[in-house]
Amino acid sequence: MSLSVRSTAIRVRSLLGSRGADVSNLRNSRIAALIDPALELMAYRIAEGPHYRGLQQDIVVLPAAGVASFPAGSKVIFSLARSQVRVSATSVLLTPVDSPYTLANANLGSEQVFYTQDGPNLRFRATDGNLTTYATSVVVTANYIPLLSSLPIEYEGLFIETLAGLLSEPTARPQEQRATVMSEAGRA
Amino acid sequence: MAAASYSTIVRQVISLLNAQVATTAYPVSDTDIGTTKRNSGELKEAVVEADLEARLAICETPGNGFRNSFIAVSALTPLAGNAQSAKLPERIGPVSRVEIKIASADTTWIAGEWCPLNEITEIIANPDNVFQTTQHATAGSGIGGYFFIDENADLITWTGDSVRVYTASIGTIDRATPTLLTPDTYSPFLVARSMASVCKHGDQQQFMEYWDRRSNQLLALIRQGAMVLPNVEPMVRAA
Repeated sequence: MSLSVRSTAIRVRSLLGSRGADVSNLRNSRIAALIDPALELMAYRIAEGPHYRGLQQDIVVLPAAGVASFPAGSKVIFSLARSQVRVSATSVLLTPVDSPYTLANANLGSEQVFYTQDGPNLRFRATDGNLTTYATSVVVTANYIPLLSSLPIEYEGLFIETLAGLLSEPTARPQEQRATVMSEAGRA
Repeated sequence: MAAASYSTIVRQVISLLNAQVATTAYPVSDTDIGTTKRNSGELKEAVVEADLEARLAICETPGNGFRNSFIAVSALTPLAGNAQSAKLPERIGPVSRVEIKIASADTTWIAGEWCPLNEITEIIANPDNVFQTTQHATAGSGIGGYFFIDENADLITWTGDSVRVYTASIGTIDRATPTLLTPDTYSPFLVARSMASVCKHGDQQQFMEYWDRRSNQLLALIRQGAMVLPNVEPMVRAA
């Protein structure tokens, strides 16, 4: 059973109330308006923490001309160090390099496919060294910002705690974001 | 709630006046001025007016336990072009309560919760799904059920599908029978106010002022939410 606005509001009010906060004017609408920011803040904290694998998902993307972008609304938090890219058909891991410059200019071998983060996209270097030809479907395992309706049950408590923090600390803002959001299209 | 008895009130008034009921038509003729005669129509008018005054005081006093007897529910029709606003019905005193049906298919009404107008406007618009994707008038919505009342504009705005309000009115006015709706425990006020009303030119000023003051005291008790009033007593003349 996934969380709804109502069940989220009940839990947050209960939590804040048990801590002595006055929740009489804390309407569902105020809580609902901060659900997405709380999900975002929680996801970034997890992505940067030691247990980041718990909130990762697989996303299939199909590179075209050596470049892959994430589907609109996928809300991927991509990190070269904490994400993996595999060939969909074979599950063979591809090798990350630190930058597009390395991908283009380093003396990389021809026995494997390399990739790197290039702005909001992933750029691939085919085995022949060409940067504009790779077009094989890949699976990206990366952290993501969940929706309320699909929040894994094991993170509900943390989410409620995060949301309660936003509601009770007016100055708290989700600014601790060092990882890169690679797909924000769904929130435009 | 048992209503006050008209015949009992009249008997008490006549007794307190130590009056006789005149047989002539209302108004009492000039020759009756200064006498103890009171016309039956005059007495009836006094009691009916006192009854209406008591009803009004009850309706205007939130917290008065009898106000609920004067409350009626009205399902409101949304304004043309504005599905979440409606004109409030005629009423006395503040709206007693608001109930909202979240979705049109719902069968239950929930108690509405007050919310600032600007927040309601935002909930209805839900720009960029800032309040999540479930809209306010959808079954199970967490953002339906809020209302804002602009008393000066006689307007209510709400989130959810439909709204109904509970408001107070003084009820049917039956001057002919007459039928009283004031609770029986407020009979002392009806007697005192009727006494004040039927005082005439020629009565002792002290007598007139006594009943005027006494009825105002009892009216104040009604407006303070008293459910039972002290009995009225005849004015004791100084020796």
